[in-house]
Amino acid sequence: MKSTTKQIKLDKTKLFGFNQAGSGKAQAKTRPMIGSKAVGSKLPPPPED
Amino acid sequence: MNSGSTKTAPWQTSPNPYGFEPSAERVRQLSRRMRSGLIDSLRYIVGQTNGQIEFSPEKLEQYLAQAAQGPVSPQAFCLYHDLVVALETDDLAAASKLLNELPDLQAPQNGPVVIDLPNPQKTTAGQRYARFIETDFSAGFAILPPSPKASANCRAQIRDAFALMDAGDPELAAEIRALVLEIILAAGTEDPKKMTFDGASAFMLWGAIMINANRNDGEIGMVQMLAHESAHDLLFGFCADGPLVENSPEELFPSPLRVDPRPMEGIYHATFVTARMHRAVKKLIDAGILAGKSLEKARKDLAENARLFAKGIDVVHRHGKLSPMGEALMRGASDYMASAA
Repeated sequence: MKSTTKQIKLDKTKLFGFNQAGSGKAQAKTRPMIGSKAVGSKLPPPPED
Repeated sequence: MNSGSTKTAPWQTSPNPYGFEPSAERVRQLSRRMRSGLIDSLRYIVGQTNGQIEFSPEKLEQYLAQAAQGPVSPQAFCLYHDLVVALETDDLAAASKLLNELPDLQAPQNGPVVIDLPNPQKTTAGQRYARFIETDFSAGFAILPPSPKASANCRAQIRDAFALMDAGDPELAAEIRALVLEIILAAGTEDPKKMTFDGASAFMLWGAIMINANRNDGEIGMVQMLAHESAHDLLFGFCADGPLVENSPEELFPSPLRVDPRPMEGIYHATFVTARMHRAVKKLIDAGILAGKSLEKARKDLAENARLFAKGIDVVHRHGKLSPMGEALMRGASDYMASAA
């Protein structure tokens, strides 16, 4: 069974490039602060266009 | 995260730290700051492991000492990210593997090195590049190694683009060389009904940009592609200091460059990099080094970039909650666009 207590605890304020904890969002712990940027996607335009 | 840091970075002491004009020196300072953030956090993490993870502390410390002195592989940021995730999920075996792998990552000493995306299905590096570039896409799409023909064609365009910039915009060429260590050539799907990409970059791949080698927009298009993706990396470098915008990532707005609605941070990026693309093209035109169809394309692209910037800055002005740094950087872009009109 997986332990519910982390074996190694990290202070979020000492991580680099991660969202700060405190926003109440679980994903903030592991998501990069900034996502990738892509241009020129070729999705077909929405019908109203 | 270092966004709450009160330390003053070296570029902040210059008269115009958030100026719009390219600066290789500022990029070198940003690079030192990025590496310093990475190194400090890695040392902290290693201190927390308290003997629970198998790795060579001597080898890692030697790597960190080298990283303080010069460029690190863009993959180092990915690996760091994965290390944090591994520890957050108690996967100590994965953490151990990553800490052992990190010191073996080699950094190009003189950027940019152009590489073909290693096969993501067969190599750790290829899988890592593809995974980190994909983080922002709501719909999954293919990131594949380029064909030899597409790669050769794209490499020629990159060479020609740098030759143009060296002749007409040496400041931008120098900034890109300082900022971009790796240009990764990849390919997307050729199915017109599916989503693909022209270029991409990611915070956790700082120092690398990815270009779709199937694009065929010539050297004028490639100058803009390089200006565009390197400007994303520039903004990522500033972001180590704090956010550009304070809007919620859940709020979506129309983007000047993408068909899918984007968070304000994405709109901000798109607007800023469009101004950088405009500047890159204008510099070449003003230098008098373009003629014939190249000049014709440059003029057309210049007008399109101006149109897209106007579209983007309108959304930013109406909905953007910019941080002081975001405000200062965008003011530089807006002032440039106003002066170039």
